[in-house]
Amino acid sequence: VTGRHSFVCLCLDLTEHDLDRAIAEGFTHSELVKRYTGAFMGPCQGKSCMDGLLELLATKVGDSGAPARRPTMRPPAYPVTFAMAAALPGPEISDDDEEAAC
Amino acid sequence: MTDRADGIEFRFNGRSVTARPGQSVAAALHANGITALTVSSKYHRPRGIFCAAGRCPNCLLNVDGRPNVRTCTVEAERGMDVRSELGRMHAAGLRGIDLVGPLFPVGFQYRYFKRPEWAYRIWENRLRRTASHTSLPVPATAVPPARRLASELAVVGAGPAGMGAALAAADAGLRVVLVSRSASLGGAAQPLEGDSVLGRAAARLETAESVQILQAATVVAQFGTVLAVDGGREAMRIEVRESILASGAYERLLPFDGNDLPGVMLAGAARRLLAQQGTRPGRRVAIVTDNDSPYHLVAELLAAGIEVPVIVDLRAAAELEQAQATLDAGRPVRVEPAARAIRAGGWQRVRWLRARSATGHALKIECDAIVISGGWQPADELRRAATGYGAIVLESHGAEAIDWQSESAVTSVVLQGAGSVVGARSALEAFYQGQIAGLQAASRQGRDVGPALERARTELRRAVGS
Repeated sequence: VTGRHSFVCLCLDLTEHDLDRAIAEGFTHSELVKRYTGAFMGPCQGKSCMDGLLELLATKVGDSGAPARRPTMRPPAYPVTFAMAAALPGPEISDDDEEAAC
Repeated sequence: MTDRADGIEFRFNGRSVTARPGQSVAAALHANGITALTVSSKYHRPRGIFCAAGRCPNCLLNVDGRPNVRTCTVEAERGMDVRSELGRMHAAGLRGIDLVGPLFPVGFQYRYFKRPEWAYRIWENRLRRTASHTSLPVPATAVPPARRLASELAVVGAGPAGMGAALAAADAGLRVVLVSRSASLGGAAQPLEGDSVLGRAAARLETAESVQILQAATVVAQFGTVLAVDGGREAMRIEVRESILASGAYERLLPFDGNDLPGVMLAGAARRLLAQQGTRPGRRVAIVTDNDSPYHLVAELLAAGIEVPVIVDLRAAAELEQAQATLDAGRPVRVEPAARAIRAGGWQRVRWLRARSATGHALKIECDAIVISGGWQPADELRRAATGYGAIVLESHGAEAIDWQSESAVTSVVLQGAGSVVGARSALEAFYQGQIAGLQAASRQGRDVGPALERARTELRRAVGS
């Protein structure tokens, strides 16, 4: 079997073989590949793998344009601890706002 | 390379390790021959330093009870207690890809034991336990203090582009917050030479009154004109008028069998280990690349007494002339154009590389490290993850480059791209792009930038050689 030890994503141990399998099962769009394989969803959030993997996907699927689009992502762009997330200050609430909320 | 006399002793899985002052935990372990730092999430394969820039999953260790610390960015301290997240499995060197792989193909979690539901509950728990790499922090982490900042301009990234932007904007009279992921200025260009354009810029920035430098801090999200910053010991919220994204680029990996073995690392990582950490990536370092960047590293490797047995270049011979011209003719290195890396082998560390030359000839090269480079990916995730700024950000696929001919006009004043995030190829090109971005921001906010903008444009033209 080719590509079984050839890693395209280090966070979730995704190999080229896995990518081939996902494509064979019909997951050819970048959004679907992300959800099915977990790529870009590990600690690096795609920082080590995204463009390389998408390029590989595009060559394997054949260039129809769509697969190479980067999937959506949400903040935080870097992993943070829960403590840090809890500490991040929100907007300052003025007295007027509070009255408006009531 | 370690000097016992002023060495910093810490513990790794109960064993004593000595670091040099200023060395990161991961680099110290690597220098002490501990190249397998962690095990991978699914197959528990050994993993070692890969990016040396605090973004890949390979050096996440438990430090003094804090789980999943990016140890390549944490300086070693006396008495630190560093542990593998999966202590015992790590010691056993369990490696399940050949056994487990075929049984648990990709996407298996969506298929197996989904019905009946009670079976899934058991299965899910079991999966969690096997896949989880850590335990809750001991002692429980306190919520860090928070701080609110306001500024006219935020510059994300303190590499050449970020330094140029912050300095130029401050010179033009803006109040600037400069956020640097590392503890010192310079980004990928570190260490900076004191008497160079960048070295002088760093020295001026450090004393500039209108520039606030946040060191060892990461912008984790930007919502419109608000930046959320993880400052390590404190959380920060910065409200700005404008921001410049100078976050650089990430080097890409190359796929070949065994490309995850400890000892296989990005060219940038090898350079950072050598130049910033005083740590040799290996004694015999093979190179696999599809671009020029590792060629610039060869002289540094050779100067450090490291052998470079081969450069396996995926590009055709005709494309390599410029790259090969950068090599020192006095110390020839074997270059294999149009070659392919087939497989890297070894157990806890890479021991050999098998490649196929352009003529189909099989090569087996002994080495204890492999430097790889598969090109660059812009570090524009903040831009892609930005929300709350409407369609401009959501529809764009990356950072928007500054229009360096323009006086001030842009479509968006948040996360304007400058430097290698928008394709700058050299440190000076990035620096002057940054200057222009900074001056444009100042000009938009009503400052008189005078002849500075034209000067920066001239320098930029010179830097790109046109």
